[in-house]
Amino acid sequence: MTNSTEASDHLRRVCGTCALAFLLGTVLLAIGEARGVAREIIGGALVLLPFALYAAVGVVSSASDLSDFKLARRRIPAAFAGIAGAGAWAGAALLIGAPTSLFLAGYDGRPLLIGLAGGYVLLGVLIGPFLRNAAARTLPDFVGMRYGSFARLLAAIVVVFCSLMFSAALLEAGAATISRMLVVDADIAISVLAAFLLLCTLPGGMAGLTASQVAQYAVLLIGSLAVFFLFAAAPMTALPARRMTRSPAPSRPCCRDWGSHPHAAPAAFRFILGRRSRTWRSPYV
Amino acid sequence: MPDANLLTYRRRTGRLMRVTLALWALFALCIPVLVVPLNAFSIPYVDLPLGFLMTTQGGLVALTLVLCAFARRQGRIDRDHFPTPG
Repeated sequence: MTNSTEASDHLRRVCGTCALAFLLGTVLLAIGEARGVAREIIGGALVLLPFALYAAVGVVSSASDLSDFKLARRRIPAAFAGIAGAGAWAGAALLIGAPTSLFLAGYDGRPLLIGLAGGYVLLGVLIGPFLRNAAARTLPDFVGMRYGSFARLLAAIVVVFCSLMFSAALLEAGAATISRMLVVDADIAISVLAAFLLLCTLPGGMAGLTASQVAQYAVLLIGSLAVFFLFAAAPMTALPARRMTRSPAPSRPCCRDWGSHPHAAPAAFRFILGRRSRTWRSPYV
Repeated sequence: MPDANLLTYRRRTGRLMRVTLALWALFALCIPVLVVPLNAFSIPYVDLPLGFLMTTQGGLVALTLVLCAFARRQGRIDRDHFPTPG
């Protein structure tokens, strides 16, 4: 009970500190931009600030023994376990992958969205409760308990294969963002990203990973809400989003012609921009 | 032979699982397949076709709510049949 309370307090502090640090950093960067700080510095700080926060959280949440490293001593409160899962769900895969797949492929990109959300339902209904009741540490452990050592080996291969594919996609997406914002080579960007990942996971194991995912959730929540309100307020205010929504869309020959596609998507972002935003018009949606 | 409490627990858990999986199939399989016919219907106010809205946003929200409802309901079933933890 005490351990669980301590873990809950620690994660609550992590969540609050990261949210405040991200807000403060963003405000400072906005002030710096208004005062003429170079855009390259602003962009670099904007990318590195969240990563530095995650790495700091991972280092602060270092594990003290093997049980803490592997399972966080099974003391993560349910709410924070859910928050960590949501942070992992709404990471690069959803923020970058989902809009991109819908933008490039239209309705053909929907399996990514539905697969992510529906996969969590299947995980929660068919695997999660039984894995918990069996007190297994990993999914291959659970499969091995039920079906023997050969099934355990197969499950380990499947899990490693899926995890590697997913991690490679996430690293690619993160490296693309970093190399674009910091104007560095993609190899260097991947190395930087891998270093931050190691800082998140190595000192604390599962405890550090959960804490950094909670921090990621806080940053994502604030960032998403900020973008939503910025675009919602665009038709009524003189915020920078107004300029963005008025600018003509760049030509993208790689994109599918939405108008001629049988599953062509309608005005997707009309809901966010509101009916009064008649100045905004994209040729793709 | 399992006692009555365990049998009832299994029956309620199984029913909940079947209902949840049926809802999963509805939102993750049926609606994405039927997106074009559903686009014939339009949501009032937001003025978006039903199929598009369900595929991009509504389905995700629905699946999240299904998962939350499942966890809440399963927790209640567990507490009803096994009041003491462990």
